[in-house]
Amino acid sequence: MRLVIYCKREIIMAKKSNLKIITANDLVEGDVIYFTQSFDWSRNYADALIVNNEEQELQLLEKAQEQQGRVIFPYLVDVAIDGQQEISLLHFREKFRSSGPSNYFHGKQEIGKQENFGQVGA
Amino acid sequence: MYIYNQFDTDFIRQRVSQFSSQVEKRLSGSLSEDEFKPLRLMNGLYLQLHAYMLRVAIPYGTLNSAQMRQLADIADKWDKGYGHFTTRQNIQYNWSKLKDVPDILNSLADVNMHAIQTSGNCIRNVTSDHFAGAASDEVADPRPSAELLRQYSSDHSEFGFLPRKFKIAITGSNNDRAVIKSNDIGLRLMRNENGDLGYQVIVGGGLGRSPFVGKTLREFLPKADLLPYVEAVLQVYNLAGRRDNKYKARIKILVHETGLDKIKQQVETCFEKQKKFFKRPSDELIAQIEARFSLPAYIDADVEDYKNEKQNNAAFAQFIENNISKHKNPNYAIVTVSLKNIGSTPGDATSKQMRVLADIAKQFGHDELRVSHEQNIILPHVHKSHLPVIYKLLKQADLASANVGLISDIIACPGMDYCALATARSIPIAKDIAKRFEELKLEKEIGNVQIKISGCINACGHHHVGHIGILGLEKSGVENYQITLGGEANLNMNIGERTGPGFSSEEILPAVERLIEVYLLKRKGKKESFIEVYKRLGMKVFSEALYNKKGQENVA
Amino acid sequence: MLHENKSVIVRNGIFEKNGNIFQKSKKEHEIELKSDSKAVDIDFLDIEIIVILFDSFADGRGFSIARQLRQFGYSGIIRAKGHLLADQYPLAIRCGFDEVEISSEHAKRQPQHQWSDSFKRVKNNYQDRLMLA
Repeated sequence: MRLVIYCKREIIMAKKSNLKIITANDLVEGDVIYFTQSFDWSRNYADALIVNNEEQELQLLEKAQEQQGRVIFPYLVDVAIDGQQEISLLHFREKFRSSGPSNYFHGKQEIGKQENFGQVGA
Repeated sequence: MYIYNQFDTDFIRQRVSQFSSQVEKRLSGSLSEDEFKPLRLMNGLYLQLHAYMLRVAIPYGTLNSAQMRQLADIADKWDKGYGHFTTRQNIQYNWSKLKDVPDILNSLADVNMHAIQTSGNCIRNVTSDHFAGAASDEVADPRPSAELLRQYSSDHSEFGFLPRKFKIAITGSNNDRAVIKSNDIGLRLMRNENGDLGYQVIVGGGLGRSPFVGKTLREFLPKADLLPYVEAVLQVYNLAGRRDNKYKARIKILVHETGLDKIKQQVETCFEKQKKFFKRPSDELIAQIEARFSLPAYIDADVEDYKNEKQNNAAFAQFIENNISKHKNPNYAIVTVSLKNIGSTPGDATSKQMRVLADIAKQFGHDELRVSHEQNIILPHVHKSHLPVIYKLLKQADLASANVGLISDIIACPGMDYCALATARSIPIAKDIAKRFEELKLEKEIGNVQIKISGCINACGHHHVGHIGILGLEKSGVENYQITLGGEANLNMNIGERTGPGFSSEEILPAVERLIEVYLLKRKGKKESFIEVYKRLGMKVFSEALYNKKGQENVA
Repeated sequence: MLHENKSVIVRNGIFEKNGNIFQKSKKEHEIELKSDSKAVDIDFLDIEIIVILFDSFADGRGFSIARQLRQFGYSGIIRAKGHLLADQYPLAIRCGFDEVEISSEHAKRQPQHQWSDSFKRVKNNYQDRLMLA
């Protein structure tokens, strides 16, 4: 499994999935945000707009990159959806980004946005 | 210690206002992120996984109580009530917000601190021996040289946009506590046959993707030639260092690819030219700097209480045995305060703890503190008579773990819990190891062993030079940990050797246990430390223990 | 090697829109150096303007080249050409540059006042205080 391909415009977390969303960090707050249907940004990945082909991916990425005044380094991330159309993040790095660190109850988990991602050997 | 004067203060304030305007320009679109990024990095502001991170410079790891107190206040006011001390003697705040950064920088400026050049492709914080000026094994105090280099490298016009970061470390002792051979330039203060003071200059050390032990560029450089010589090295590097590949851009690669002899030639040629044009600092300025690092006004007091306490209080005696180092004044001691409580995050201190340390330093420690690259805090000048009361105060603040140098005194980078570059977490592994050996009550029995954990190949946890190094990677979508053995972080610096395939997060702790089992079994007695046994027996017996047991199917 | 109309020259913190001070300098009295040039190889006898190209603002080689040219005795004009940021202007001056040439598009995003503000920071830096060259 490849880890990260970095090129000037995007970071693609390569895993076998057709479904992707876009994530970035908020310019002012620095925290993790996700690109929504209304081309706005949400702190909750459940609100993210899903794309399922390369053309849509590039279009969406371009749209996200237009918002340089609000966000930093938008990139595509693999997701899956279940029967209830609920998004789940596939890579453990993205799960951490969505919850917060595992050593203190800080970050999104503190605000109660996402579930706490478990600790090793806890 | 060095006291900033008006010039230093003005420089920092001006820099804050410059950065504030850069932030405004970024927010207004005058600067793109690509343009803003190197500027914010040069002012110590990173973007991590969950938030911005501000890395505050603590020049050669030295600070006073007022500064420590301010760091505590900043943690409370603009962060989450704690700070993280790093392997380069700096402090990091993990939860900064861009709009708050100018205020934080001004608050730092109030105590003559800053975050300048703690990141970016420039000359970074010059690190040094955390026992400098106090250690009994010192040839000379390296900090005046470190301070000279700090001033020299601050906003240097020519070297602000190097191919990559540039790290300088200096030691004044042959017992190298600054790991100089892991730096781009390493300096060892020494005396030649005539007794003149000068430096051995080492170049091209580095950890990370391609670890290299630094090589000797100059056996002896006269003291007065330090700046022009460093300038020559930097100029050669600036012009010839690779700019096509971020992972091949450090001077260690330039030395490796060009050859040490050729680089020596180029540096010496450049140095000869520099000598003609270089306007050296005046003797007066040098003397002024050196005067700031004079010895503390030693006190005299009765040490009966201390002796009695050592005899009667086992915990105190343990603390003395592990956490105290020899001071050049026989009535004094160097105290290492461990930031490695069992089960806690290595290198983290709460604001409350920082204030306690500040108070102790002010009252009992000649107002001086140090940060060690091993992520602990040092009180370098403590009269022995004060040790009992200091121990009590530390205990109250949960700062009295007597584990310096033991297996739970682990160095760990923040890893994937915080860092955007990480491939795996390091903090939980550190916690698990510490907890396990405390549970087994084996810490004291095992004695000195240095475990260092990095959460990715950039090796900020210095795993290459750990007796046991652990590198967190990823395999098949989950965290996977490789072990290296036999690394050493001193003048005989050695890069650890990989044992073989990595271990899952469930298997890494039992793997470390097996290594320690082997050590305890094979050692010639308690006096033989882990690293000594490894050097005597080699990899085989350890890798057999790791891989030939029933755990074979768990090994990734 | 005269700059095109599309560029702006920054001199003493001010945008000069129309070209060289040395209008009468001839082509053979100007040279343009790439960022991997070696100052020691340059024969600058009779040269009045040396233009040093900056591939990107992150490529700091030009600063060393300019400094070396000065050390080797060149006393004519040195001009930095490329996407330099206003914040780099004082660094360039201290390394021996006289002027910076930027595109007019770049000049729009980094207007003159940014350069004149920067220009005030040329003096009184650490290297001056240490009395270094």
